Amino acid sequence: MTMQSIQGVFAERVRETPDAIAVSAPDGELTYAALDAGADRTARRLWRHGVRRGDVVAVHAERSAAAVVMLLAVLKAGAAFLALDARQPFERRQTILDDASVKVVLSPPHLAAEMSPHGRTVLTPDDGVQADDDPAVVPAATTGPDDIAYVAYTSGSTGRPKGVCVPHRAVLRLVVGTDIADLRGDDVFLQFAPLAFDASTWEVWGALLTGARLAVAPPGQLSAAELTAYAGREGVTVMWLTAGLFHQVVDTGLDDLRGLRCLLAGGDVLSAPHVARAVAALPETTVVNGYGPTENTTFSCCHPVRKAPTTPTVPIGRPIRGSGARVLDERLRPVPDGEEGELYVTGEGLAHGYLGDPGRTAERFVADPYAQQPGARMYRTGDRVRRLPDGTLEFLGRDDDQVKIRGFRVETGEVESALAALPDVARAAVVVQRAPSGERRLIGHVVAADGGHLSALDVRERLERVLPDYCVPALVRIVDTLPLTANGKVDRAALAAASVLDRPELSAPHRAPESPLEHAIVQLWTDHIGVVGIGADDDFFEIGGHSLLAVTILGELRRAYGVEISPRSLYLDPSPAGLARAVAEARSRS
Amino acid sequence: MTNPFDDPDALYRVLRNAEGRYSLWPSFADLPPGWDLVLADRPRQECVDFVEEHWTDLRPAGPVASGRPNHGTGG
Repeated sequence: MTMQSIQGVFAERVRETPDAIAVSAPDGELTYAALDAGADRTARRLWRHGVRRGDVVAVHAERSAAAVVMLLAVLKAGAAFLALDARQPFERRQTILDDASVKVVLSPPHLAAEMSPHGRTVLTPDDGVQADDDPAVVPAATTGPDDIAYVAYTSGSTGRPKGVCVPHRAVLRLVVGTDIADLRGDDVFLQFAPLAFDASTWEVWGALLTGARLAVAPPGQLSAAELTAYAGREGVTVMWLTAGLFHQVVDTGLDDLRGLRCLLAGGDVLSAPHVARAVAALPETTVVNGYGPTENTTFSCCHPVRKAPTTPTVPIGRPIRGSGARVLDERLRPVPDGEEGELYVTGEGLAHGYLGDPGRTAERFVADPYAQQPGARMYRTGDRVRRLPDGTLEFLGRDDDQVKIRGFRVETGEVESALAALPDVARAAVVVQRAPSGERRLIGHVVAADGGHLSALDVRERLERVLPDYCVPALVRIVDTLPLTANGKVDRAALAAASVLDRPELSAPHRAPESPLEHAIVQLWTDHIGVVGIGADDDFFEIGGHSLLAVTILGELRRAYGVEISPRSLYLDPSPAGLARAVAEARSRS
Repeated sequence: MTNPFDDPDALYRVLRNAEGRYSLWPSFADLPPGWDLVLADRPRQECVDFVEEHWTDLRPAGPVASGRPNHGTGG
């Protein structure tokens, strides 16, 4: 039988092992049969509310077994799911819902109230006790491999996030008969990736289409130690970690992960020493560098690391089954092995394109001049690579403005557009800077419009309302002008070279800000002093503050909180915590 | 180095395949097999605008995407 859809393959697993555990999570455990029945009930509810094949249904849920039921229910109704990221600001979620013309949002009862309808229907899943179910109503959806399974939004350079439309075919190519790992029915997959990001495609459907168990980590933030402890307790055998988290896990200790068969890491450049330590500490585990843009469905290339790398970089490996890779020069000719070129990916994993954006789709998903099958397309990744003597690919960098911040893909153009759209902002430029720790951070520069006045606190607050936190610059500078190059473009190199300091050793130990007020004041100091990593107990003058800056900062606090703080109280207690206390006291008096 | 698809000063073409999908294509490169030329040698933005105007459904044209019920065994 040819594979038609995700839910079609899932149905085969239900027939084979109905009583096996499909999902285990803090909110409950579901067998394959129970997951199937629960998703059917909710699919019927969606169908009764008019959801049909080709629609996009948003799923607004935290990590849970219930969320997995909802994703499957949307597919069973014949629609595509759009998983919202609860950490994203409200306005951005609305933008995304509007962009995807979402009419129905599926959300558990305790989160449904968060979704203001805006002309949309907000539904809760059918938990089996409502009276409105009618098992005779079966969604008459005939899903084919070209139907869209999900829409995943990524940062867009022109200031608008873009929705990548991924068909069922692409997901099946990722997890059915894959050569990424030898998946088995007795595997346990960790589910930790946010459902809005496509690493979760691998986790969720890798488990459920294999007949394995999906172990859903508790919702919310987990430390590296909490995560590995959970994985150890649950007997996880297949696990994905974004690069930053992978490095933390290696640093924290791998003892809990000895039961892993496959540890995939990626999403950003992996540190070779960390990979070497993981390989040495986990002799029974295949450590895999997984590479790929969302546009080619989670993974394009994988590199299993069999022995500790001695090279400074970890290759991204070879294309996975069902995918191809071409390394081309600026005239679209294949480059000789060993020479640098741009990576183009091909095959079954390609998304249809960007929702409602055919122009951008035709720019990125282009004709493949070397395809065996006439009329095939390739996706240009924007990544620079070269082919090594053993045939694996090595990642060398990018030649555009896309960066990874804490593993998340960010277009600096999107951040610039968001800054420039704020009231009283004339121009904005965002550059990327690499901290001594190797971590990248965004530095924003804004110029006030004529006669306008800008407050760093205000700029940051407004930005946090429209951008996810990883897109908000670590430091926002208010400047009089942006430096220009000889041909009149913003001189980004000069901006990037302008020094931003990391917090030096200070007399006070570093204490992270706790209250919202402490956070706001630390950010205000960061923006005005140009030092990143300020602690709540740090001394204003010790980290480079001076009286002029003090006046500016107190002025910002006056406008933001309507309180008058005397310079004297800053001098007497010159820390963010002290200033927060002064603001709180002044507010309680007024 | 400018990507051949991102050169603001170069001329481009618009191609379309049998599934009704469109591709921007640099004018210097040969026509790839399976693609028809639908707009020849114009500035980049003009080509993008042309695609915006003519490509209405991103899904590949054919029995599946047109939603005919006789296709497939269903979910």
